[in-house]
Amino acid sequence: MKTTRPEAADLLAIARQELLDTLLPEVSGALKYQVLMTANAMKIAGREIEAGASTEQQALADIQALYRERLPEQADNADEQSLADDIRHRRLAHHDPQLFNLLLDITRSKLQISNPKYLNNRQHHSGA
Amino acid sequence: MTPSELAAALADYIAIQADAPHVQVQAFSKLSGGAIQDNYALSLLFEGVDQPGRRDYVVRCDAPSGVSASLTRPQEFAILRKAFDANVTVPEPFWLCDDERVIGRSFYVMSKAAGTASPQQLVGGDMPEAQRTELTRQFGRELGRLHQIKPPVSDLEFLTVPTEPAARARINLYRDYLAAIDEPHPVLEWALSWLEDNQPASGQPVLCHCDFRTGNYMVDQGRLTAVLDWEFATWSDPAEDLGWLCSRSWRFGADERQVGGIGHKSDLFAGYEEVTGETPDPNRVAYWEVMALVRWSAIALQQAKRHLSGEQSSLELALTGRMLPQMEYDLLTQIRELS
Repeated sequence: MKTTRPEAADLLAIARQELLDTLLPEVSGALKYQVLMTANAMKIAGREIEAGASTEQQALADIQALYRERLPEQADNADEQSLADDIRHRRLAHHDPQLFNLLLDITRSKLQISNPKYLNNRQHHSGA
Repeated sequence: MTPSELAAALADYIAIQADAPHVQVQAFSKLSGGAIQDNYALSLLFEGVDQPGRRDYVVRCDAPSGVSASLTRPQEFAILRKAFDANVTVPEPFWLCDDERVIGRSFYVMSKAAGTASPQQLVGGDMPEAQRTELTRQFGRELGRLHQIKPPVSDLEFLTVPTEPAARARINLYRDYLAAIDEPHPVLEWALSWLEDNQPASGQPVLCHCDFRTGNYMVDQGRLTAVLDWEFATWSDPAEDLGWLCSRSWRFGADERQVGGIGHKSDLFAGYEEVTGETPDPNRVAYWEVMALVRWSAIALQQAKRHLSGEQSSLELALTGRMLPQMEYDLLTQIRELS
């Protein structure tokens, strides 16, 4: 079944626009903050609908690529959970620059969804 | 109890404690902040006493749904007393009431400090540079005075004197937190490995506030008027307090001002040295800044969990959970700089 258009992302975007254009100017004080928080949550959800699945797929592929080099026997079942466990139990070496780069890539992609502005500011300042 | 019944009960209690024949409630309001405690501002008009007139108090009590791993009100009161006696700038603690018949829960009464605790006003405001410098030095002096308190101390026996180094204890605690959350956080695990491999030599534990950051102190005209929110105080490494205050999480957008978005470490350390005669070790503080990011991450995860489990459905808690990648990014870049 194909969903009736407009799709989820469109609906979220226009609902958010309505909130900011018509509701926000009418409220003041603490309520303003509530409206902005709501708009922010809708923005994050919108970005996740657009890019969430492909980001997750890319992260999984990157994790498995690292495993093929470092722990090849576990590569097929490797995911973010096994990555966390293998770091905790030191099966993946802490100093491995490839591990660091993987973690940085995953974190950047999460920030692209939850707070791209933060990522841009930090990269701009640190040159990272 | 309705708010006016509560105010009347508190006024009666204070009248008896202060030996005043008559007091009148002039203002009573709930203060914002504090999920675990309720704080109320109470203004009373005293009559028939040596110094008649208006007196302003803050009353702090457990929230009705008070579940917490932090200190109880009586314990907090005992710590506030010790800090006050050690000349740390805190609200003056007046009376502790453990008798639940008065308002249905234990509470204590303290003086009301002037000024604001709002990070937006303090960090974003137009405080002159000289005031910022002096305020930052004052942070150092306050922590220096607090850290003069070392175990054993009478009346603080409820604080367990640690048998292992503070860093070790924190690492174990945060690993347990992470294990209890059914969502993988490889960056936090990686940061904890770094913290484990780079533990500083342990020293004698001192009384630490453990939540001294912008938002938890009051400032009036550039002067710190009170260090607030003592519910996490415990024996720990003095650098834990310094690292928490300097953590990137509490700069409120003013990243270049490493000390709470207000000032610079050189001034913080100078103020600390003024009181203790010891300059904090910058590497040790940097280590505890990393620990601070892990701690804030663990707290944020727990807040998100409160929302996710349905215990407390809240947009703010939900969005706090989505802040995790920010802390994780900061951890990665900060550790890389230190390695």
